[in-house]
Amino acid sequence: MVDEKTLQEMIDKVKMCEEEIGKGIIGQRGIIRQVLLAILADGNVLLEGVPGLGKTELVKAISKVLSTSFSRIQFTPDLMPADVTGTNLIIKEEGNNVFQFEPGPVFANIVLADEINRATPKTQSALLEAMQEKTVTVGKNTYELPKPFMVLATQNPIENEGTYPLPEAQLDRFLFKLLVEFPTKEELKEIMDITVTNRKVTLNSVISGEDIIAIREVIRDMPISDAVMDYALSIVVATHPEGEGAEEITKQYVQNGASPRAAQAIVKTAKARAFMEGRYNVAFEDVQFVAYPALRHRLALNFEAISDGISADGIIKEILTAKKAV
Amino acid sequence: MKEVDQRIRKFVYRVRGRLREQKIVDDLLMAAGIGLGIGVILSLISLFVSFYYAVPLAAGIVVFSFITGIIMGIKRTPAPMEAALLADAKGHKEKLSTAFYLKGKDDAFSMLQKKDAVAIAESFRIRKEFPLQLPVKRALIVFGLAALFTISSLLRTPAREYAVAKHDVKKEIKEEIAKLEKVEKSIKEKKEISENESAEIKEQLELAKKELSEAESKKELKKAKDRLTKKMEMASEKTENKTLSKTLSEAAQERKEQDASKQKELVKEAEEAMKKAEKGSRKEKKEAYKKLAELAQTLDDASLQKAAEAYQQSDYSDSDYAAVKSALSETLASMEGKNTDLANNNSSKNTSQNNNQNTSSSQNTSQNGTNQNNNNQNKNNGGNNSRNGDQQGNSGQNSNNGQGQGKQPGAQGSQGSNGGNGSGPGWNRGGKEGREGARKTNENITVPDGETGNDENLTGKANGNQTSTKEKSNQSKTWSGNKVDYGQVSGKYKDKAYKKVDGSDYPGKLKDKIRNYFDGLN
Repeated sequence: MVDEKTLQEMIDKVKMCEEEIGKGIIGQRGIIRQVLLAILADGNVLLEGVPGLGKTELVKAISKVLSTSFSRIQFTPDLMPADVTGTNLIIKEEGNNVFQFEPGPVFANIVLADEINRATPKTQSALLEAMQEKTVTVGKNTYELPKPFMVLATQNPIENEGTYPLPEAQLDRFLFKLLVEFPTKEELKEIMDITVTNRKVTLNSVISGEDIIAIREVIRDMPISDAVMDYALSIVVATHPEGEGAEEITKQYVQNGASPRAAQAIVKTAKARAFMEGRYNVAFEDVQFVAYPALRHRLALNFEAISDGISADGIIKEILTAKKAV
Repeated sequence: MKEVDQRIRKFVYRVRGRLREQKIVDDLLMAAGIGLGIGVILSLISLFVSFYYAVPLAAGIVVFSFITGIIMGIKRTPAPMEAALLADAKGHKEKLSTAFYLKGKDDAFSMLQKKDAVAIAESFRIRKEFPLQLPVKRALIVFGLAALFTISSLLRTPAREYAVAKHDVKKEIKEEIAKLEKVEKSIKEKKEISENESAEIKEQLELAKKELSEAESKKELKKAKDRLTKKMEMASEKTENKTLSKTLSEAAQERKEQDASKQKELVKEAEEAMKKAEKGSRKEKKEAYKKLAELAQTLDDASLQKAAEAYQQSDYSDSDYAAVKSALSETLASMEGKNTDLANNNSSKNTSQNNNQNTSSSQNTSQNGTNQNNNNQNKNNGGNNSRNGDQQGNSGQNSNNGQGQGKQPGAQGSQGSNGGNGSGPGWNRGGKEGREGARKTNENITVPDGETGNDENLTGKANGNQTSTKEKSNQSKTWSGNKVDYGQVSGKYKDKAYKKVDGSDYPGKLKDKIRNYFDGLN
């Protein structure tokens, strides 16, 4: 049974973690917060942004602060699934040739799938099982991935040549899709200070994998009232053009709405946010905060939306405005 | 745990109570606005359209809207959870609503959450966070409409006066019909009265009811009432059944007494109002005018009416005050004369006997005739149709002053013993002078003694024009209801005339003249 003191300690640890990551990554406070939420909610994150915004650095910083195992996979068109999951090697054992499974880079607590959209769909889908089931199946054997496990993938939105957009099924397995923005002038100046000088920033490990698992357990017990739950679900339902209470914008521009995983994502991450805010209950504002990253990659927009320049975020904003909390 | 839950619950219900107050204020103003809006429309319509119940109906709607507003406010009170959420909306991040939702749960998280919520509830100032707000714009509209409604309800316009008068007439008709029903019932209950007699009277009373209900003004109603009283008297005389005769006679007498008492009351009120008006305020003078006008209308007294109107038009001048007072005195004198008659049970029948001047022809006229004061001259253009003919005025005698249809009726000689203004429908009550009335056609007439004859209408002309046109209509209603040839009844008329003349103390020459007249009819 968790007590107030333990809870506070946990909250403090997460806050320290946030602070520590912030030392290595200038600006991007919102992104850091959202990545941490995804970690606490046991989810995978897709980071989208133009090259050079520090996506990879962010993931590396997180892995350092979390004191967990980390591996990076640079996705390229010739990358094979076995390069991700691992493969069976023939080795000599007591004079006999036997297959021995050699784990791939996916066998780590934090996996950075860099430029994930550069790999072929075949290789991309090698991550599907790992992301959802936290297991890897090679041949007839299924291997459990270490706990905690999460995939932090990055992708470049502007290069279309030689890229393979992620299939909807894989997108749905990302808890959050975060849009990494260009830093402000002040932030850029600070980045210069630590990157083009000899000044080194050392990141300390402040939280262990076990701590994260324990915090996840606690967050799952976070109470959420009926009213807040209804609100979260009504938002998800409203993304469906045929759904109950669908807004006009949804009917016009959305081809397919968010899946039930979206509802799970919103509720789980809203709880995590309430936890990080030091509260014992989920509020409407938590739902509103996590609605954008949880829904934006789950809305399949139609051609009309693309031609009219309507983004998923624009639709989510309309839905949130229409669905009054009180 | 229970205590924490209780505290949260108590807090949420307190918030809810406050929200209810606000809802009541909002809904009350909204409903009152709608109700008053409808009320104002109704009230304004009734200023131009005769609708007696417009203002009471409007007032009812307003009251109803107020009650509806309160009920709506109570009904639309937020549910407890909604109240908790509204309290949370004051920056408490759903702590209160979650605590309310977690009622009965005792896990670590729930307990911590409730503890947090209790701390908020204790520092929450409900009255400060939810101040009772009066929607100023809505309130101003409501007050404006209320003022408009009050003013428009108090205004007096011709349409409204007419509606009131019409309503009074309807009310009186209802009362009259109730009285008739009472008489009808009393006749039915008496064993001495046969079924046939009862049925006959019932039929006649039904006709009378119909006639009463057709009246549209006080004047018409008065005439109908007078006719009814007369009919009762006639029926009482006609019947051989003493019980029936007595019942009808009593009913007629009672009606007369009631009328007289009512008139007396009106006179008294008018006198008092006049006294107050003599040196009183303009309001009192106005009130006096109203009373006089009402009295004049009730008594159908044109001279009093004229005097009252002159008094009003002269802005209540002293000279007109004196004229009004004099007219009132005359009216009083006239009424006293009538009352004396009534007291002595000196009805038209007796008058007729005493004066020996009333003939059947005079009884039959009254309604359509042009009354002339041509002494001993028969101006009946209808010639031999006595039923609808002109009246005859007899010098020095109180003859039949046919006020009935008002063509300068009667213009009777004022020397009769039954003097006073002739306001009766021509049933042997004389008067000093008749009054003009409007041109009338197709009025109901009464055939005396249940006799029947051909229907003829005589269209008299107003303003003393001595010519009258007579036209057969065959539409007129008769007391007995049957129509028979004149030849069939003229003999009976003749016999009756002979009997009356024989029993009278008329000079011999006059007796001969009357006999010759009836002989000539054949």
